[in-house]
Amino acid sequence: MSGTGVIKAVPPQDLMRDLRTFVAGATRRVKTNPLELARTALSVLKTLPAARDAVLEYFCTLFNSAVSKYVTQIETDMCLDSSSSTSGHEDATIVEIHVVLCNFVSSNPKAWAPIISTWSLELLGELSSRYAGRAHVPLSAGLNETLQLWMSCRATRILIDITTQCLSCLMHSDTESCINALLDTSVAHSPHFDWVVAHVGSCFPHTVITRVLSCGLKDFSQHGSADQSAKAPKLNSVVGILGHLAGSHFADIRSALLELFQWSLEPDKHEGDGENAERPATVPFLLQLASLSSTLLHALSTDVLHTLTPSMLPKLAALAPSWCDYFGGSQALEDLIVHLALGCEQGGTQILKLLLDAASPLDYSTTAAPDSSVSASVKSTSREILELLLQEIDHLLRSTMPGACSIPLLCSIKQEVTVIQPLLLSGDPLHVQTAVRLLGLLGYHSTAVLVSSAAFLLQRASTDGHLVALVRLVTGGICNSTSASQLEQENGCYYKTGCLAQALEQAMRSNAGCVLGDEGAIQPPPEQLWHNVAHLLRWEHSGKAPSLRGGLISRAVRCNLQEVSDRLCTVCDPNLACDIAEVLDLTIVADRSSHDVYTVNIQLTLLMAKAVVAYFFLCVSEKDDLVRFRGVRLCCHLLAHLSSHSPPARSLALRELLEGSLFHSHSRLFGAKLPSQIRAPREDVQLLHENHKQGTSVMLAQRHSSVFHAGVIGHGPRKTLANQSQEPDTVTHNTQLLIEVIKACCSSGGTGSETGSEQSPTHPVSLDAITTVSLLLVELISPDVMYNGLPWPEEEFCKVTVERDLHIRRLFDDLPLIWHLMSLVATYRPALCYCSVLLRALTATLLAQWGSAAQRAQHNDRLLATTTQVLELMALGQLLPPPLSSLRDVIPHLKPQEVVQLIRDCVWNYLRDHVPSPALFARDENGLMWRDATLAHPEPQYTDTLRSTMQNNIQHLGTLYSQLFPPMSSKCQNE
Amino acid sequence: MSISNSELKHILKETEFPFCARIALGRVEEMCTTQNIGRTSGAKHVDISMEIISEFVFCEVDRRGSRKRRLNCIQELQLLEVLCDFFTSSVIGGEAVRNMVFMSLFPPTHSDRSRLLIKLVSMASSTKNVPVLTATGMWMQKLGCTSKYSLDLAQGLVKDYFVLIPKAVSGLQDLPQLAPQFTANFLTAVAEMYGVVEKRHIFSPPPDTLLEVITQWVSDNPTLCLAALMVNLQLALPLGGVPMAAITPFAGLFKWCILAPLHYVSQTSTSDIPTSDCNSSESPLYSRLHLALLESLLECYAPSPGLHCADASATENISAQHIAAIIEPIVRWLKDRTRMENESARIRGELALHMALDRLAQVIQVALVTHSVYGNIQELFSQLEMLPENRLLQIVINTHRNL
Repeated sequence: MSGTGVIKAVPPQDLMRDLRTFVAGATRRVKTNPLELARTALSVLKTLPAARDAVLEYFCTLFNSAVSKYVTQIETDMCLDSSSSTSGHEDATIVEIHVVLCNFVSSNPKAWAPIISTWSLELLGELSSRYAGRAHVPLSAGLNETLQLWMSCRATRILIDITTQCLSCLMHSDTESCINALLDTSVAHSPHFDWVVAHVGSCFPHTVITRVLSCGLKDFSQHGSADQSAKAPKLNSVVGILGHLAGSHFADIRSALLELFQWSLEPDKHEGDGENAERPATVPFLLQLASLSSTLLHALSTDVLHTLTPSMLPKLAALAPSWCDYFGGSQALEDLIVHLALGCEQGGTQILKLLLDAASPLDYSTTAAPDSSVSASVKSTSREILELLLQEIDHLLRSTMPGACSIPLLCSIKQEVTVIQPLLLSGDPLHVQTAVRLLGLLGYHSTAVLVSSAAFLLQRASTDGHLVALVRLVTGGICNSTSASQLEQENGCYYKTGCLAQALEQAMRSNAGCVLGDEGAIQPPPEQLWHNVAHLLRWEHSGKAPSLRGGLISRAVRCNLQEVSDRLCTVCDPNLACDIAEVLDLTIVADRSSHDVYTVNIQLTLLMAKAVVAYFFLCVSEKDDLVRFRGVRLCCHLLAHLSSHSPPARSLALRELLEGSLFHSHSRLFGAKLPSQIRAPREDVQLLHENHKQGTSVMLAQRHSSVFHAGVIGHGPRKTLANQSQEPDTVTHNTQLLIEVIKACCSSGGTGSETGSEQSPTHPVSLDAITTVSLLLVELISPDVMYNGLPWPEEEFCKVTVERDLHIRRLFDDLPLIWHLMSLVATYRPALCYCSVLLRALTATLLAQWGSAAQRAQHNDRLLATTTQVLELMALGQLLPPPLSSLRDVIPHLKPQEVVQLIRDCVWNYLRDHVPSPALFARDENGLMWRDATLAHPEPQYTDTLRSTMQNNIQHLGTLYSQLFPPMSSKCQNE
Repeated sequence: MSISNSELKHILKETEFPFCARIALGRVEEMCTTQNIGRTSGAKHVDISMEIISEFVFCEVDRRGSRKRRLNCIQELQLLEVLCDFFTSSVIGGEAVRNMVFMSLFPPTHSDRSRLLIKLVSMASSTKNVPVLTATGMWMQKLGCTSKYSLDLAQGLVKDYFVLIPKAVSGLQDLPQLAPQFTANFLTAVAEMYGVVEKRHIFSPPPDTLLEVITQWVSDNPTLCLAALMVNLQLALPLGGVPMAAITPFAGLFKWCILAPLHYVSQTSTSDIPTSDCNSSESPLYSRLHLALLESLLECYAPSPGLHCADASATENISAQHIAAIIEPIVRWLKDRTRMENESARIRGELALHMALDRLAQVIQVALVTHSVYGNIQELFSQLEMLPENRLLQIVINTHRNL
């Protein structure tokens, strides 16, 4: 050291000495105590500003050696205690350095923070890339492991602390340069530096995110316009940093992205040239970010996507050409967009709707016509993207095993499938097609989607186009058209049938729900479903649609026969019922192609029968004749089919028909004279209020003011309802219809395959069935189970059964329908025999009545009419052989005493002695049963009364007499 | 001179870094000495010495002339140490040679070396290395105290001592005694640096520590401001060197003192300017500095016999133009002030204005009386007319107009 200085105080000497010591130590020329050296360095730093850089550089080596020791210590896995001595002084120096630097920063943040933060960031970057892959943390280790490793190292922890302290000082004044430094270091030492950024970022999330984005954008707009946007060096680190921060600050990222996007769409304000240059690069930048990180894609798709509307598209379209440059052509841009769209976990429907609305806008007011070239390009581009998107999904699905492939976009759409479904009903063919394709693709993975969509369509389709869409949806899945082998095709067919069946079930269920009115939402008219099903069935039967040839629809309906029948049972709207019945008819009757293959189980058949009967009564009560006839024809058709194939169904149908028409509320339709019912009116009148009205004054006992309305409490006073008796015409009509239906039920469709006879309106009626009818009549009308046998007892015995007889008689009087039924039965001999008990009861009551009439010597027209009816019945059923069969023609001309005599001798006694039994009848060559009149010629003891009575009244009955009792000669000839 | 240049280069190449710089410096000094005596023609020697400096002192280029890796900071520190040692020990050629070497080390053409120069000067200031500081003072004066180079240097020093490590200031107390010329030139540069008028502000106040130190310097050393004038430059400069006309820090520092009241009063009145970093009220240091400056003006009017300065130079302290430059911001401030609505602010503004005008009048009075002003004085007076009415100023004008 030279001593030539003119004036030299002691302190500069010291300074110089310190400096020399430091330089010597730092350059390793002299061996020094590291702690001493560090102290010297710190003092030099405090007193000699010129040495600042050098000292900081020296600190770098200190930190480096500390970290290196730490890392090797971990690597060699030394015991914890043995290391303490070596790292002791270093830790101490590092702590001292920390304190000094922090003091500097806090004393004058503006001046010191940039220096220290740059230094610490650079050092951190160097350290983390130098020791990357060491200390049992592999290069590929995740951020968390790295973070843990470095945060447990004292040196790096202190560095991080210093950095954050500097940054927090600078954050308010000089964010730009801060983040730039951070990013630059991150670029230089990527990916080893990521943990620092992550740590710093989580300390200042909002600032870091927005600044990182803007830095990235700036960089992108400068570098990205070249051919490969991947050249932008900061992009990857931007993505990395945002990815790390996404874990805990996702909302910040989302809002930052949204702000950026909205900013990019703002009109240029000519604020600064640099900013304007960045605007067009924003969207490509965002796209690029999204393509590099699914997290960011998620963030973008949650927020940004929702702000996009079709009306914004023209604006975007104007910008789009400049975007293409960033990706090397429009093709690449479209590809990128498609792939991004595929990766969206949310907002799938949003994307789809946007594309669709843009491709074929339904509402032209949003994309106004003036700029037609722009809107045309928007349209064509959207179409293109949409097509690409669908193709890509298709491709992906086909190239993987079912269930193995998961496309986020599809999943997202699946969650919001209710948004897509209405597209199926859109008037625009593109919308419909897209929806069909998309749902078909979705259906590849989850049948439920397919099913619910099909159900949706079934319920709402109102045009042929919609039904075509439905057919395409169901038949046009992925697996069927390509599968080659027969087996697979069949499987596919079953699959489709199953699909459709489930869809139908779902549709019916929701349909029923809407009938009950549980949802206030716009529900399609319930008839629509059945219209549609019927329509489809007709298509299928027409055989013109190749895709429906496998009996797809009818099979599907058959799977749901039970539900269909249930619906038919419960439905009250005749039109709806008609539609359902039609479907039923088309399914089970009209389809002859495969009914031998398919056998309906008994329970189902019974249910259907019941349903049809219910439908019949509904039809009958219908006012409109046309509807009524159509319905009844349908019923006949159905019942004939059902009962010819299933005896149980027949018996059930018959029982239901009879019971319903006779005793239930339907009986009114058939002219039943019911006692005028006293019912509580439906109006909302309370009995209490009515009674209050009466007594405004003080109520006195025994005065008329104290007489109250009689009524049901809570329902108001009783009112006698006028008995709405049916028009006689209608009654006749209805009765005819009922008879028709019963006949249809009884028709013998043949046990085998008499398919031809089914179509003819006049079916041969099976006798067994008619027998069933007559037995049913007995069962229903006779109140007793005893003494219902065929034989007629002594007349005296009537005194025992008089009660029952009167009951039966009463029923006959009240229910004129019974007469018609009886005559039906009588037509088909010998079924009337089984109704013997009814006839007996009638006859017994008639006897008694005529007897009393004889005493009073008055003529009773009604009595006469009834008697005539009974006698007619017996004659029709050939229970009374000629000449007894002509009794009804005789009676009107006789006095009551004579009538009593006649009935007793000719009817009662004859039948008592000749039990009316089917055995009396014989089958002729036509298969009809007849009672041989020659064999059954009654003995004189039964005819004599008639003969003498007629003789007594020969003035009226001359002609008849000659017919009934021809001269003996002819009689002898006959014998 | 015993070895040829190529041999020297060979030797230098064999030598390690800090030592080769030392040897190279010695060689350069030798060459400068011969040049100064005038024995050899300049141009070739200058080239060779430049080469050597570039290759072996600053290690900027390697032997093939291409760019080398920069020295790291510790090596730089070593180099600084070597440089300091060299300047302290070099006695062969006297001051002129030293300055010559210094000039060749830091020529204005090598702007990238200014970083090192700042460090060197900073280090010299702390270690009180007088030769280096003196050479720097010369360097500044040659390049012009208000030139960009000097301003950069001043800025670096201010950052080191007054911003980053204010505690190190204590080491600068005796700087005026050690290197008065350097200090004076430094003051000129600093005054210029902070006197630069920005758009919104009429004046950017210096850090308090800086102001304090300057006040102390000026009041303790009345002749300090004249130091730049008092040195006979021709002796210190190498052969044929022409110094720039010296500028004293008077005008710049007076400007601080005069504008400071206006600055602070406008800072308090307009609330939109954040007042976090600077005190909102005027520091009393300004008036102390003002007084010290006036005293030192008076001081040099009655020069002590010990000083060897000529009367002629003493009268050329302050350019009339520089004083006139103070008037313009005041006028501008007046225009701005018309926007003030607040009554109390208006009153405070009035007070501040009169204080500023008083100080201006004092300065003019003293300067004129001591004959320190040169240049177009009439022009100055006509400009003074533009200022608002002030009693003292009026008296001063009336007194001197007639002369």
